[in-house]
Amino acid sequence: MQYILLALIVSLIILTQKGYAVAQQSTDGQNPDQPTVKSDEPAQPAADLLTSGKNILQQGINENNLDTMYAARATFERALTDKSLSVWSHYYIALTDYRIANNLLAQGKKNKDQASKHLKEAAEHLEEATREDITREDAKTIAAEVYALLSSVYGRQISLSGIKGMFLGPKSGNLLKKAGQLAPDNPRVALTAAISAFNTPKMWGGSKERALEGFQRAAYLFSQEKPTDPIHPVWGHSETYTWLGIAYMDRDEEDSAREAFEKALEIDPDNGWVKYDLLPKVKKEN
Amino acid sequence: MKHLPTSTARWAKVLLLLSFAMTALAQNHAFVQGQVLDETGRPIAYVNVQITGTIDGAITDRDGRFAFSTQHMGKCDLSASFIGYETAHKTLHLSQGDTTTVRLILRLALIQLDETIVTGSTYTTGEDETVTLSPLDVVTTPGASADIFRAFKTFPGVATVDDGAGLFVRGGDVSETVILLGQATVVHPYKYESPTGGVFGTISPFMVQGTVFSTGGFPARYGNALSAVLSMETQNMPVQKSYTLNLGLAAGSLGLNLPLVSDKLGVRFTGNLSFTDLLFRINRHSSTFTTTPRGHDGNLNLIYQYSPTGRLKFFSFNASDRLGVRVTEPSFDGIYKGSTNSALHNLEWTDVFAHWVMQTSASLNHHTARKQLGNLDFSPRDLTLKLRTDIERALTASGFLRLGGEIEHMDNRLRGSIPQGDIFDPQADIFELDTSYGARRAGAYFEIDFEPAHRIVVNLGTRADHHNLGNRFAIDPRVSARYQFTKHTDARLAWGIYHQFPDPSKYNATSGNPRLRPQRAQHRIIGLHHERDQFMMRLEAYHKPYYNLVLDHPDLNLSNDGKGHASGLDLFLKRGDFLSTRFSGWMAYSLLRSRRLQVRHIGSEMHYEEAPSPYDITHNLTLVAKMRLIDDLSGGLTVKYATSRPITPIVGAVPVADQNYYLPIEGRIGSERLPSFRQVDGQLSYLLPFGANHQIIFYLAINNLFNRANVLDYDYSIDYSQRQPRTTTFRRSIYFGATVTLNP
Repeated sequence: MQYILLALIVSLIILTQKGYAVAQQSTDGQNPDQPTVKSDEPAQPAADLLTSGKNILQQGINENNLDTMYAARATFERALTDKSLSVWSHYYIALTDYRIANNLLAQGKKNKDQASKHLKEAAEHLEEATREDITREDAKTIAAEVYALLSSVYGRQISLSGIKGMFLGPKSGNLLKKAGQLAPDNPRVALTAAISAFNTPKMWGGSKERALEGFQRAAYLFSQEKPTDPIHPVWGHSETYTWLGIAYMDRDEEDSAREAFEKALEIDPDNGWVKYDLLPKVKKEN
Repeated sequence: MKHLPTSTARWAKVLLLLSFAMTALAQNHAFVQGQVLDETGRPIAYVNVQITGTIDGAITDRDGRFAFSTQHMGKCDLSASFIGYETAHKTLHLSQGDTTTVRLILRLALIQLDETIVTGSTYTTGEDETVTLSPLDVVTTPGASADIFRAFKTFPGVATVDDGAGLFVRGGDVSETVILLGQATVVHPYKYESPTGGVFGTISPFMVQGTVFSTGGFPARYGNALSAVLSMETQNMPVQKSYTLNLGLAAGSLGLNLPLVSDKLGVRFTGNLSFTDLLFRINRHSSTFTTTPRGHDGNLNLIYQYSPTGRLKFFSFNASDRLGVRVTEPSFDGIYKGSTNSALHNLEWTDVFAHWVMQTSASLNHHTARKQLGNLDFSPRDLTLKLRTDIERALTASGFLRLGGEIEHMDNRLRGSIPQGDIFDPQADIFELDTSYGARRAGAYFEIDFEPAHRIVVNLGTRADHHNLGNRFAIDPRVSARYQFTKHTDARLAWGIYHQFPDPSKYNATSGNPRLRPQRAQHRIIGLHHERDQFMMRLEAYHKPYYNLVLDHPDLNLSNDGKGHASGLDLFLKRGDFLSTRFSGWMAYSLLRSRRLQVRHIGSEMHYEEAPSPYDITHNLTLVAKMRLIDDLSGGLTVKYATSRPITPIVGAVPVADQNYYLPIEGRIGSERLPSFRQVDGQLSYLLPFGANHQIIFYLAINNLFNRANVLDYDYSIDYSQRQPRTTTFRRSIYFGATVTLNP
């Protein structure tokens, strides 16, 4: 009789535990984009949030899905609490805002206000990140990544309001210079510098020639990049070939452009920009 | 069976322990679930819901729902944040095993609390998003000659009294507009000073980072100004080395921006030389100048960022100018020679101390002038020392508290030879004047910005000032509010008391009155503001009664019996930004009615009359249009129309016994008006890049395109029997030049 009672108790306890587990799973499972809440493992929670946020963001970019990008943004925002990683949280929130702004702008001019808001947020988060006291050994790399992204954000702000070029142009250029000094072989720094050279009007110091060389160098640097820390950014490899293709298109070198776009798709088969927009253009023109 | 109980007991013990442990594990968690909605009850997806200070939280799904577990127990704060919304907070009391259900409402975030937005009647320039005009817009305004003051003259509420730079705001005199640079008062803000201000502003637009120009209802931090405030901020740290060289028909300048130690120490310098000789000759102006206006100035700006929050800024400015002109007045004819030297030095310290942002500065204005005409040789000199501190902190609920104080010490000295009688008679008695006087004003204020209800922002403040001459106190309570009824549209209200102490020279016992009180105005403003993408519209109505204005008095010399009022309507429409959009421009229209009690001189008698104020410009319309013609070539036009100002005609004269001059008999005050003021100015600029980072801008400006002879006043013959219009010296003139900018 006691055994039956014991068995009952045991099974009840096990059931309850499982029930919780199930309940928890269903909460987490509501949206596959949403990161799981792993309160039981406090060792690396913010780091987990960041890595899962990175995946969500990449998915959002590939699917051209704003909602998924917003989910990524919320994930990064949550990681902000952990002060030891907040420089990265700021970085990724800004990266997401930058991507969202680009996505909004690609959809049309009427989203300009909303996009400006995201760019402003991005700039603020990165400016916040530059103020963080980084004492880690990879401080230089982190600072270079932050500067490079901030330079891109300023560049995008200038493209929305030319007048900002007066103030943000020199700032943007200065940041790129600093980023280049800190991490001369960082492929994202090289990519950002090349995009800047490509988009900046000649009168403000842009150069398409320099841009093309820059994209080629960035492509080489990406091929050499071996990410060690899962938190570190890895974006940009496929994008580099995308821009390389655009630079070739600008020079009417369509074969090279197509080759570059194909390479971009080889690295990231989900690169929507190349797949649906750019590659069909060079194919059509042929 | 005997063993069983023991083993059962052991099992039971083990299981009991196990079950305790497991229950403990389950109960170690609290569960939080709920929904996030917007104000209209619609769910918001992708909101980050999180227990503040932990990473425990979740993201809302499409229905705005979320659920998560946490080990955090007891009282805690749950926050929900999403871009474009204000972060919502809720206090939770979590206990083990419990499930807490919450609903959070997110409110649409309004534009960030900013005093320039709370206050109506305010126009700004700078690099911020909320500015009315960018600095490039200022310098490319046709007719403005790259002058900040002249650019602001194209704004509503500023009357076109003549073609100078004087800022006459909403029926007020030019002295009712106070000019600030950082925290320092610019005592002499105009070059080639005249009763209507001067020809240009003294501060170069390229030394200025941003400006706030308020034509009324400004907050308590600004004191001793009856009508308006133009507050300019000096440039910050240069981020890049750059050199600028400008050479034009009437000016040459050199600019250096050097970051000496990156992000730590930087210096900016500009030096200007102005010479109008060539300008007048090329434009074939038969000028009355015997010495064409010329001058030079230098600006130095040193910035030292000693910590992430701490900064020292030193700004020094020194300008000299001189001119000679043939003067033809009723009673004399001769050459007037004038020269001035103006300097302003300002040391400013900014830092953050325990949530308070502090800014303190000490500034010194130094001004000397010499005016010569016939036997008259007159040299005024003044020295103004000002100390000012402002501290500001954010309040817990979105709001700000601002406190500050200032002491301004003025020291004036007048020296010279004043002829008694005919100014050109070498035999005339000369009165040697040497007099000094000083004045001290001390003021303090507080301001609070707060949101009493959603979508409403209020700025409430009071200032108190004391002036040692006359020993008078002035208390100015002020309030302004903004109600944002849609994302793009808001309504603004402002009310306040404004005091301005008379000029120190008016307190002297011989020609003034030592018991003068401060002049007072009340501002009442209601306005509507709409801004969407590239379009901006502002409509404001105001009423401004004046009291205790200084007025001539037959026995006391001066009294505070003056009073009056100004009411009007200001409309501002703007579209686009220079360079960002192909077309850009703005329109400003002001309707004004301004009346004051004034003195009418009939021979040697004084009569008081309530009449239109001298700056009662009924209609004032300005159109500024700019366009990118082809790639790097831009053009612009400014069109100005103003009902011209009222004047008092002279209807007769009485001769003065034994003297060869007459005393005029004035007609009714302001009973006549000058012809309307009309002017069109054009400008072309061409940008030529060279090298990697360098550029040249060529510019061509044609001011007064239609060569209109705007009438400024009438000149009378010696016995006042005949008059002829005095017209502008700024007839059609062509100006051209080039600016080279090198960014090595």
